[in-house]
Amino acid sequence: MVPTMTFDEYRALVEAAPVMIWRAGRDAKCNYFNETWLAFTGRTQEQEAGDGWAEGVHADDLDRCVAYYLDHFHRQRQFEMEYRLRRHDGFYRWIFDRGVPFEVDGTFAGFIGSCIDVQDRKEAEAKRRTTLAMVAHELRTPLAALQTYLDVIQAKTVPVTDPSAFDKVARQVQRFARLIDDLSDTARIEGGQQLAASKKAMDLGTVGSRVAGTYQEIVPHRAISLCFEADIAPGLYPMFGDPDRIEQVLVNILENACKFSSADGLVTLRISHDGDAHRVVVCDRGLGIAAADLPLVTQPYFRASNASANRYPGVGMGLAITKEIIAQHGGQLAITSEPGKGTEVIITLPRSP
Amino acid sequence: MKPRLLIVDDEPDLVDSLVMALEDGFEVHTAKNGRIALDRLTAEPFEVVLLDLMMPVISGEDLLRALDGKPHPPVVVLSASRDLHETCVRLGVTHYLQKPFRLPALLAKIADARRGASGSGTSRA
Repeated sequence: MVPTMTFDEYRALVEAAPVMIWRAGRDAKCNYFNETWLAFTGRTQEQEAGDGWAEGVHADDLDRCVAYYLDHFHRQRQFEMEYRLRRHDGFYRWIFDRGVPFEVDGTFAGFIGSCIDVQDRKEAEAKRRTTLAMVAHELRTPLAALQTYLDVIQAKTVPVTDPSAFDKVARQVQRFARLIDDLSDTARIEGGQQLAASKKAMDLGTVGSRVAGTYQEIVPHRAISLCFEADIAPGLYPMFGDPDRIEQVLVNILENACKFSSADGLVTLRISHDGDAHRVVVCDRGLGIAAADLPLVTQPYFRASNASANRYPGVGMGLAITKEIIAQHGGQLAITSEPGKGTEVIITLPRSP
Repeated sequence: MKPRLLIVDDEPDLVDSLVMALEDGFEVHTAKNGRIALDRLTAEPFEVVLLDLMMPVISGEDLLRALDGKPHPPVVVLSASRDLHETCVRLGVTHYLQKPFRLPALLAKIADARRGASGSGTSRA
Protein backbone atom coordinates (compact mmCIF):
# COMPACT_ATOMS: atom_id res chain seq x y z
CA MET A 1 0.00 0.00 0.00
CA VAL A 2 1.32 3.44 -0.90
CA PRO A 3 1.92 5.44 2.31
CA THR A 4 -0.11 8.62 2.59
CA MET A 5 2.02 11.75 2.87
CA THR A 6 1.09 15.02 4.42
CA PHE A 7 1.44 18.30 2.51
CA ASP A 8 4.59 19.12 4.52
CA GLU A 9 6.10 15.75 3.64
CA TYR A 10 5.42 16.33 -0.05
CA ARG A 11 6.91 19.77 0.25
CA ALA A 12 10.04 18.41 1.96
CA LEU A 13 10.35 15.83 -0.81
CA VAL A 14 10.32 18.49 -3.54
CA GLU A 15 12.50 20.98 -1.68
CA ALA A 16 15.19 18.47 -0.71
CA ALA A 17 15.24 16.42 -3.92
CA PRO A 18 18.83 16.26 -5.31
CA VAL A 19 17.68 17.90 -8.53
CA MET A 20 16.89 21.53 -9.24
CA ILE A 21 13.16 21.92 -9.85
CA TRP A 22 11.28 24.84 -11.39
CA ARG A 23 7.70 25.53 -12.41
CA ALA A 24 6.20 27.97 -14.89
CA GLY A 25 2.57 29.12 -15.15
CA ARG A 26 0.40 29.43 -18.24
CA ASP A 27 2.11 32.76 -19.05
CA ALA A 28 5.47 30.92 -19.39
CA LYS A 29 6.84 32.90 -16.45
CA CYS A 30 8.51 30.93 -13.70
CA ASN A 31 6.74 31.05 -10.37
CA TYR A 32 8.58 28.46 -8.27
CA PHE A 33 12.13 27.17 -7.68
CA ASN A 34 12.94 24.48 -5.12
CA GLU A 35 15.56 24.85 -2.35
CA THR A 36 18.12 22.89 -4.38
CA TRP A 37 17.88 25.42 -7.23
CA LEU A 38 18.09 28.39 -4.84
CA ALA A 39 21.09 26.85 -3.02
CA PHE A 40 22.83 26.37 -6.40
CA THR A 41 22.29 29.93 -7.64
CA GLY A 42 22.55 31.54 -4.19
CA ARG A 43 19.51 33.69 -5.00
CA THR A 44 16.04 34.08 -3.49
CA GLN A 45 12.68 32.86 -4.79
CA GLU A 46 11.77 36.49 -5.51
CA GLN A 47 14.96 37.16 -7.49
CA GLU A 48 14.49 34.06 -9.64
CA ALA A 49 10.72 34.45 -10.22
CA GLY A 50 9.32 35.64 -13.57
CA ASP A 51 12.30 35.98 -15.89
CA GLY A 52 14.77 36.58 -13.04
CA TRP A 53 16.33 33.12 -13.51
CA ALA A 54 17.52 34.22 -16.98
CA GLU A 55 20.00 36.62 -15.34
CA GLY A 56 22.03 33.59 -14.27
CA VAL A 57 22.16 31.99 -17.73
CA HIS A 58 25.42 32.54 -19.63
CA ALA A 59 25.08 35.35 -22.16
CA ASP A 60 26.21 33.04 -24.98
CA ASP A 61 23.43 30.54 -24.18
CA LEU A 62 20.55 32.83 -23.23
CA ASP A 63 18.95 33.66 -26.61
CA ARG A 64 19.14 30.04 -27.77
CA CYS A 65 17.64 28.76 -24.51
CA VAL A 66 14.81 31.26 -24.30
CA ALA A 67 13.81 30.68 -27.95
CA TYR A 68 13.91 26.90 -27.49
CA TYR A 69 11.92 27.10 -24.23
CA LEU A 70 9.21 29.39 -25.62
CA ASP A 71 8.86 27.38 -28.82
CA HIS A 72 8.23 24.17 -26.83
CA PHE A 73 6.11 25.96 -24.26
CA HIS A 74 3.68 27.36 -26.81
CA ARG A 75 3.40 23.97 -28.53
CA GLN A 76 3.09 22.31 -25.08
CA ARG A 77 5.84 19.86 -26.01
CA GLN A 78 8.41 18.53 -23.57
CA PHE A 79 12.00 19.65 -24.12
CA GLU A 80 15.59 18.92 -23.09
CA MET A 81 18.37 21.47 -23.29
CA GLU A 82 21.79 22.29 -21.90
CA TYR A 83 23.09 25.69 -20.88
CA ARG A 84 25.55 27.30 -18.51
CA LEU A 85 24.07 28.63 -15.26
CA ARG A 86 25.92 30.83 -12.78
CA ARG A 87 26.52 29.09 -9.46
CA HIS A 88 26.50 30.91 -6.09
CA ASP A 89 30.32 31.20 -6.26
CA GLY A 90 30.19 33.01 -9.63
CA PHE A 91 31.36 30.02 -11.70
CA TYR A 92 29.20 28.94 -14.63
CA ARG A 93 28.30 25.23 -14.71
CA TRP A 94 26.70 23.28 -17.56
CA ILE A 95 23.13 22.29 -16.62
CA PHE A 96 20.91 19.67 -18.24
CA ASP A 97 17.29 20.88 -18.06
CA ARG A 98 14.25 18.75 -18.91
CA GLY A 99 10.81 20.45 -18.97
CA VAL A 100 7.37 18.83 -19.34
CA PRO A 101 3.91 20.37 -19.61
CA PHE A 102 1.50 19.65 -16.70
CA GLU A 103 -2.24 19.89 -16.28
CA VAL A 104 -4.60 20.86 -13.47
CA ASP A 105 -8.13 19.46 -13.75
CA GLY A 106 -7.46 18.41 -17.32
CA THR A 107 -6.31 21.86 -18.45
CA PHE A 108 -2.79 22.92 -19.42
CA ALA A 109 -1.35 24.74 -16.40
CA GLY A 110 2.26 25.35 -17.34
CA PHE A 111 5.59 23.52 -17.25
CA ILE A 112 7.60 21.69 -14.59
CA GLY A 113 11.31 21.24 -15.09
CA SER A 114 14.18 19.40 -13.43
CA CYS A 115 17.86 20.23 -13.85
CA ILE A 116 21.12 18.51 -12.99
CA ASP A 117 24.71 19.80 -13.00
CA VAL A 118 26.52 18.02 -15.87
CA GLN A 119 29.74 20.06 -15.77
CA ASP A 120 31.92 17.13 -14.65
CA ARG A 121 30.44 14.89 -17.34
CA LYS A 122 31.00 17.62 -19.96
CA GLU A 123 34.63 18.01 -18.89
CA ALA A 124 35.17 14.24 -18.99
CA GLU A 125 33.65 14.12 -22.48
CA ALA A 126 35.88 16.99 -23.63
CA LYS A 127 38.95 15.23 -22.21
CA ARG A 128 38.00 11.98 -23.93
CA ARG A 129 37.55 13.80 -27.26
CA THR A 130 40.92 15.51 -26.87
CA THR A 131 42.59 12.22 -25.96
CA LEU A 132 41.04 10.42 -28.93
CA ALA A 133 42.16 13.21 -31.27
CA MET A 134 45.68 12.96 -29.85
CA VAL A 135 45.71 9.16 -30.17
CA ALA A 136 44.57 9.47 -33.80
CA HIS A 137 47.27 12.08 -34.43
CA GLU A 138 50.00 9.94 -32.87
CA LEU A 139 48.93 6.86 -34.85
CA ARG A 140 48.70 8.72 -38.15
CA THR A 141 52.20 10.17 -37.84
CA PRO A 142 54.25 6.94 -38.20
CA LEU A 143 51.71 5.74 -40.79
CA ALA A 144 52.43 8.83 -42.87
CA ALA A 145 56.16 8.09 -42.95
CA LEU A 146 55.46 4.40 -43.58
CA GLN A 147 53.12 5.18 -46.50
CA THR A 148 55.60 7.59 -48.05
CA TYR A 149 58.51 5.11 -47.78
CA LEU A 150 56.32 2.43 -49.40
CA ASP A 151 55.25 4.80 -52.18
CA VAL A 152 58.88 5.70 -52.83
CA ILE A 153 59.85 2.03 -52.98
CA GLN A 154 56.88 1.29 -55.25
CA ALA A 155 57.82 4.17 -57.53
CA LYS A 156 61.33 2.69 -57.61
CA THR A 157 62.93 6.07 -57.12
CA VAL A 158 65.35 4.18 -54.87
CA PRO A 159 66.64 0.67 -55.57
CA VAL A 160 64.35 -1.70 -53.66
CA THR A 161 67.40 -3.76 -52.72
CA ASP A 162 68.56 -0.88 -50.49
CA PRO A 163 68.32 -2.41 -46.99
CA SER A 164 68.06 0.99 -45.31
CA ALA A 165 64.72 1.62 -47.03
CA PHE A 166 63.35 -1.53 -45.43
CA ASP A 167 64.93 -0.64 -42.06
CA LYS A 168 63.06 2.64 -42.24
CA VAL A 169 59.79 0.89 -42.98
CA ALA A 170 60.44 -1.52 -40.09
CA ARG A 171 61.15 1.36 -37.71
CA GLN A 172 57.77 2.94 -38.47
CA VAL A 173 56.03 -0.38 -37.84
CA GLN A 174 57.87 -0.71 -34.49
CA ARG A 175 56.91 2.83 -33.57
CA PHE A 176 53.30 2.07 -34.42
CA ALA A 177 53.38 -1.14 -32.38
CA ARG A 178 54.86 0.73 -29.42
CA LEU A 179 51.94 3.17 -29.46
CA ILE A 180 49.50 0.26 -29.46
CA ASP A 181 51.41 -1.33 -26.52
CA ASP A 182 51.27 1.97 -24.62
CA LEU A 183 47.52 2.25 -25.26
CA SER A 184 46.88 -1.26 -23.96
CA ASP A 185 49.19 -0.71 -20.94
CA THR A 186 47.33 2.51 -20.13
CA ALA A 187 44.00 0.70 -20.38
CA ARG A 188 45.32 -1.90 -17.89
CA ILE A 189 46.44 0.86 -15.50
CA GLU A 190 43.02 2.52 -15.71
CA GLY A 191 41.40 -0.87 -15.03
CA GLY A 192 43.60 -1.40 -11.97
CA GLN A 193 45.37 -4.36 -13.59
CA GLN A 194 49.07 -5.22 -13.38
CA LEU A 195 51.25 -4.70 -16.46
CA ALA A 196 52.79 -7.78 -17.99
CA ALA A 197 56.36 -8.16 -16.72
CA SER A 198 58.87 -10.99 -16.72
CA LYS A 199 61.19 -10.46 -13.77
CA LYS A 200 64.62 -12.00 -13.28
CA ALA A 201 68.00 -11.12 -11.81
CA MET A 202 69.31 -8.16 -13.80
CA ASP A 203 71.74 -5.24 -13.62
CA LEU A 204 70.37 -1.70 -13.78
CA GLY A 205 73.74 -0.29 -14.89
CA THR A 206 73.78 -2.58 -17.93
CA VAL A 207 70.30 -1.43 -18.98
CA GLY A 208 71.23 2.24 -18.37
CA SER A 209 74.38 1.86 -20.40
CA ARG A 210 72.47 0.21 -23.26
CA VAL A 211 69.86 2.98 -23.31
CA ALA A 212 72.56 5.66 -23.22
CA GLY A 213 74.34 3.88 -26.09
CA THR A 214 71.23 3.88 -28.26
CA TYR A 215 70.27 7.39 -27.21
CA GLN A 216 70.60 8.75 -30.73
CA GLU A 217 67.94 6.27 -31.85
CA ILE A 218 65.61 7.58 -29.12
CA VAL A 219 65.92 11.16 -30.34
CA PRO A 220 67.14 10.94 -33.93
CA HIS A 221 68.15 14.16 -35.66
CA ARG A 222 68.06 16.18 -32.43
CA ALA A 223 71.06 18.18 -31.24
CA ILE A 224 70.34 17.42 -27.57
CA SER A 225 73.40 15.97 -25.84
CA LEU A 226 73.20 13.23 -23.25
CA CYS A 227 75.57 13.16 -20.31
CA PHE A 228 75.62 9.61 -18.86
CA GLU A 229 77.14 9.42 -15.38
CA ALA A 230 77.49 5.97 -13.85
CA ASP A 231 80.09 3.43 -12.96
CA ILE A 232 78.96 0.64 -15.20
CA ALA A 233 81.15 -2.26 -14.11
CA PRO A 234 78.89 -5.32 -14.48
CA GLY A 235 77.08 -6.37 -11.30
CA LEU A 236 77.26 -2.99 -9.53
CA TYR A 237 73.50 -2.44 -9.66
CA PRO A 238 71.87 -5.84 -9.10
CA MET A 239 68.10 -5.92 -8.93
CA PHE A 240 65.19 -8.25 -9.57
CA GLY A 241 63.12 -6.93 -12.42
CA ASP A 242 62.06 -7.00 -16.05
CA PRO A 243 64.95 -5.51 -18.07
CA ASP A 244 62.62 -4.60 -20.96
CA ARG A 245 60.25 -2.74 -18.65
CA ILE A 246 63.14 -0.96 -16.89
CA GLU A 247 64.50 0.02 -20.30
CA GLN A 248 61.02 1.31 -21.20
CA VAL A 249 61.11 3.49 -18.04
CA LEU A 250 64.49 5.00 -18.93
CA VAL A 251 63.49 5.56 -22.57
CA ASN A 252 60.20 7.23 -21.53
CA ILE A 253 61.94 9.58 -19.10
CA LEU A 254 64.70 10.45 -21.59
CA GLU A 255 62.19 11.01 -24.40
CA ASN A 256 60.25 13.45 -22.22
CA ALA A 257 63.44 15.24 -21.19
CA CYS A 258 64.39 15.65 -24.86
CA LYS A 259 60.91 16.50 -26.09
CA PHE A 260 60.60 19.43 -23.72
CA SER A 261 64.23 20.61 -24.08
CA SER A 262 65.35 23.48 -26.23
CA ALA A 263 66.98 22.48 -29.53
CA ASP A 264 70.55 22.48 -28.16
CA GLY A 265 69.66 21.26 -24.65
CA LEU A 266 71.62 18.99 -22.35
CA VAL A 267 70.07 15.97 -20.67
CA THR A 268 71.79 14.11 -17.83
CA LEU A 269 71.24 10.45 -16.91
CA ARG A 270 72.89 9.49 -13.62
CA ILE A 271 72.80 6.09 -11.92
CA SER A 272 74.13 5.73 -8.38
CA HIS A 273 73.66 3.91 -5.08
CA ASP A 274 71.36 5.29 -2.40
CA GLY A 275 71.58 3.08 0.71
CA ASP A 276 69.78 -0.16 -0.06
CA ALA A 277 68.40 1.23 -3.29
CA HIS A 278 69.57 2.21 -6.75
CA ARG A 279 68.97 5.76 -7.77
CA VAL A 280 68.36 6.98 -11.31
CA VAL A 281 68.27 10.72 -11.95
CA VAL A 282 67.33 12.32 -15.27
CA CYS A 283 67.71 16.11 -15.50
CA ASP A 284 66.87 18.49 -18.29
CA ARG A 285 66.97 22.27 -18.70
CA GLY A 286 63.75 22.39 -20.67
CA LEU A 287 60.23 23.73 -20.46
CA GLY A 288 59.55 22.55 -16.88
CA ILE A 289 56.21 21.72 -15.27
CA ALA A 290 53.95 24.11 -13.33
CA ALA A 291 53.66 23.32 -9.60
CA ALA A 292 49.89 22.78 -9.91
CA ASP A 293 50.44 20.18 -12.66
CA LEU A 294 53.18 18.18 -10.88
CA PRO A 295 50.85 15.92 -8.85
CA LEU A 296 48.84 15.17 -12.02
CA VAL A 297 51.54 14.35 -14.58
CA THR A 298 51.52 10.62 -13.81
CA GLN A 299 47.77 10.32 -14.40
CA PRO A 300 46.83 8.60 -17.67
CA TYR A 301 46.18 11.04 -20.54
CA PHE A 302 47.13 14.09 -18.47
CA ARG A 303 48.85 16.84 -20.42
CA ALA A 304 50.59 19.70 -18.62
CA SER A 305 48.98 23.11 -19.03
CA ASN A 306 52.10 24.64 -20.60
CA ALA A 307 52.54 21.81 -23.17
CA SER A 308 50.27 23.26 -25.84
CA ALA A 309 48.91 20.57 -28.16
CA ASN A 310 49.97 22.59 -31.19
CA ARG A 311 53.61 22.50 -30.15
CA TYR A 312 54.02 19.32 -28.12
CA PRO A 313 51.82 16.57 -29.52
CA GLY A 314 51.45 13.53 -27.30
CA VAL A 315 48.81 11.45 -25.62
CA GLY A 316 50.02 11.55 -22.01
CA MET A 317 50.71 7.85 -21.46
CA GLY A 318 54.47 7.67 -20.84
CA LEU A 319 54.65 8.88 -17.25
CA ALA A 320 51.56 6.92 -16.16
CA ILE A 321 53.15 3.72 -17.49
CA THR A 322 56.53 4.67 -16.02
CA LYS A 323 55.06 5.19 -12.56
CA GLU A 324 53.21 1.86 -12.72
CA ILE A 325 56.30 -0.08 -13.82
CA ILE A 326 58.35 1.47 -11.02
CA ALA A 327 55.61 0.66 -8.48
CA GLN A 328 55.48 -2.96 -9.72
CA HIS A 329 59.24 -3.13 -9.05
CA GLY A 330 58.82 -1.83 -5.49
CA GLY A 331 60.37 1.50 -6.38
CA GLN A 332 59.40 5.14 -6.25
CA LEU A 333 59.17 8.03 -8.71
CA ALA A 334 59.69 11.66 -7.68
CA ILE A 335 59.55 14.67 -10.00
CA THR A 336 60.67 18.18 -9.18
CA SER A 337 60.46 20.98 -11.70
CA GLU A 338 60.60 24.70 -12.23
CA PRO A 339 58.87 26.20 -15.27
CA GLY A 340 61.44 27.61 -17.68
CA LYS A 341 64.35 26.03 -15.80
CA GLY A 342 63.92 22.29 -16.24
CA THR A 343 62.81 19.06 -14.64
CA GLU A 344 64.49 16.45 -12.45
CA VAL A 345 63.10 12.92 -12.32
CA ILE A 346 64.37 10.69 -9.51
CA ILE A 347 63.68 6.97 -9.55
CA THR A 348 64.62 4.67 -6.68
CA LEU A 349 64.58 0.92 -7.20
CA PRO A 350 65.36 -1.69 -4.52
CA ARG A 351 68.65 -3.55 -4.97
CA SER A 352 68.68 -7.27 -4.65
CA PRO A 353 71.18 -8.92 -2.29
CA MET B 1 67.32 24.17 -62.09
CA LYS B 2 64.97 22.28 -59.81
CA PRO B 3 62.30 24.27 -57.98
CA ARG B 4 63.16 24.94 -54.33
CA LEU B 5 60.83 23.25 -51.84
CA LEU B 6 60.84 23.72 -48.05
CA ILE B 7 59.57 20.94 -45.75
CA VAL B 8 58.61 22.25 -42.31
CA ASP B 9 58.02 19.30 -39.96
CA ASP B 10 59.45 18.13 -36.63
CA GLU B 11 59.01 14.41 -37.41
CA PRO B 12 62.45 13.28 -38.62
CA ASP B 13 61.18 10.03 -40.14
CA LEU B 14 58.48 11.76 -42.17
CA VAL B 15 60.94 14.44 -43.29
CA ASP B 16 63.38 11.71 -44.32
CA SER B 17 60.67 9.90 -46.31
CA LEU B 18 59.54 13.12 -47.99
CA VAL B 19 63.11 14.02 -48.93
CA MET B 20 63.48 10.57 -50.55
CA ALA B 21 60.17 11.02 -52.34
CA LEU B 22 60.75 14.55 -53.63
CA GLU B 23 64.49 15.01 -54.16
CA ASP B 24 64.34 13.85 -57.80
CA GLY B 25 61.98 16.66 -58.75
CA PHE B 26 62.86 19.39 -56.26
CA GLU B 27 65.75 21.02 -54.50
CA VAL B 28 64.50 19.97 -51.05
CA HIS B 29 65.24 21.99 -47.92
CA THR B 30 64.00 21.22 -44.41
CA ALA B 31 63.16 23.13 -41.23
CA LYS B 32 62.20 21.35 -38.00
CA ASN B 33 60.07 24.12 -36.56
CA GLY B 34 58.18 27.27 -37.51
CA ARG B 35 60.88 29.60 -36.19
CA ILE B 36 63.57 28.18 -38.48
CA ALA B 37 61.08 28.14 -41.37
CA LEU B 38 60.15 31.79 -40.80
CA ASP B 39 63.82 32.81 -40.83
CA ARG B 40 64.45 30.89 -44.04
CA LEU B 41 61.29 32.13 -45.77
CA THR B 42 62.27 35.68 -44.94
CA ALA B 43 65.78 35.24 -46.30
CA GLU B 44 65.46 32.86 -49.27
CA PRO B 45 63.10 32.26 -52.19
CA PHE B 46 61.12 29.00 -52.30
CA GLU B 47 58.62 27.75 -54.89
CA VAL B 48 56.47 25.83 -52.40
CA VAL B 49 56.28 25.01 -48.68
CA LEU B 50 55.06 21.74 -47.12
CA LEU B 51 53.93 22.65 -43.62
CA ASP B 52 53.06 20.52 -40.56
CA LEU B 53 50.76 22.14 -37.97
CA MET B 54 51.89 20.64 -34.65
CA MET B 55 55.49 21.68 -34.04
CA PRO B 56 57.57 23.01 -31.16
CA VAL B 57 58.82 26.61 -30.79
CA ILE B 58 56.51 28.11 -33.47
CA SER B 59 53.62 25.91 -34.62
CA GLY B 60 52.39 25.72 -38.20
CA GLU B 61 49.36 27.84 -37.29
CA ASP B 62 51.60 30.50 -35.75
CA LEU B 63 53.79 30.46 -38.86
CA LEU B 64 50.77 30.94 -41.14
CA ARG B 65 49.65 33.89 -38.99
CA ALA B 66 53.15 35.37 -39.16
CA LEU B 67 53.11 35.05 -42.97
CA ASP B 68 49.58 36.40 -43.34
CA GLY B 69 49.48 39.53 -45.48
CA LYS B 70 53.09 39.16 -46.59
CA PRO B 71 54.25 37.76 -49.93
CA HIS B 72 55.17 34.11 -49.42
CA PRO B 73 55.37 30.92 -51.47
CA PRO B 74 52.25 28.74 -51.76
CA VAL B 75 51.78 26.44 -48.77
CA VAL B 76 50.53 22.85 -48.65
CA VAL B 77 49.56 21.89 -45.09
CA LEU B 78 50.29 18.25 -44.15
CA SER B 79 48.84 17.29 -40.80
CA ALA B 80 47.66 14.28 -38.78
CA SER B 81 45.05 16.46 -37.08
CA ARG B 82 41.52 15.01 -37.13
CA ASP B 83 39.88 18.39 -37.72
CA LEU B 84 42.29 19.41 -40.49
CA HIS B 85 39.54 20.59 -42.83
CA GLU B 86 38.00 22.95 -40.25
CA THR B 87 41.43 24.23 -39.20
CA CYS B 88 42.46 24.97 -42.79
CA VAL B 89 39.16 26.70 -43.57
CA ARG B 90 39.66 28.84 -40.46
CA LEU B 91 43.25 29.65 -41.46
CA GLY B 92 42.31 30.34 -45.08
CA VAL B 93 44.52 27.49 -46.35
CA THR B 94 43.40 26.01 -49.69
CA HIS B 95 45.87 23.17 -50.13
CA TYR B 96 46.08 20.51 -47.46
CA LEU B 97 46.39 16.75 -47.02
CA GLN B 98 45.74 14.61 -43.99
CA LYS B 99 48.51 12.26 -42.91
CA PRO B 100 48.92 9.54 -43.98
CA PHE B 101 48.67 10.44 -47.65
CA ARG B 102 49.69 8.80 -50.94
CA LEU B 103 52.61 10.21 -52.87
CA PRO B 104 50.63 10.88 -56.11
CA ALA B 105 48.10 12.90 -54.07
CA LEU B 106 50.91 14.93 -52.54
CA LEU B 107 52.48 15.60 -55.94
CA ALA B 108 49.08 16.71 -57.27
CA LYS B 109 48.62 19.08 -54.31
CA ILE B 110 52.08 20.55 -54.84
CA ALA B 111 51.30 21.06 -58.54
CA ASP B 112 47.95 22.72 -57.68
CA ALA B 113 49.59 24.99 -55.15
CA ARG B 114 52.36 25.99 -57.56
CA ARG B 115 49.80 26.75 -60.28
CA GLY B 116 48.13 29.00 -57.74
CA ALA B 117 44.86 27.07 -57.93
CA SER B 118 42.48 28.98 -55.64
CA GLY B 119 45.60 30.83 -54.48
CA SER B 120 46.81 30.12 -50.96
CA GLY B 121 49.52 32.73 -50.87
CA THR B 122 51.52 34.60 -53.43
CA SER B 123 54.62 33.19 -55.03
CA ARG B 124 57.73 35.30 -54.70
CA ALA B 125 59.30 33.66 -57.73
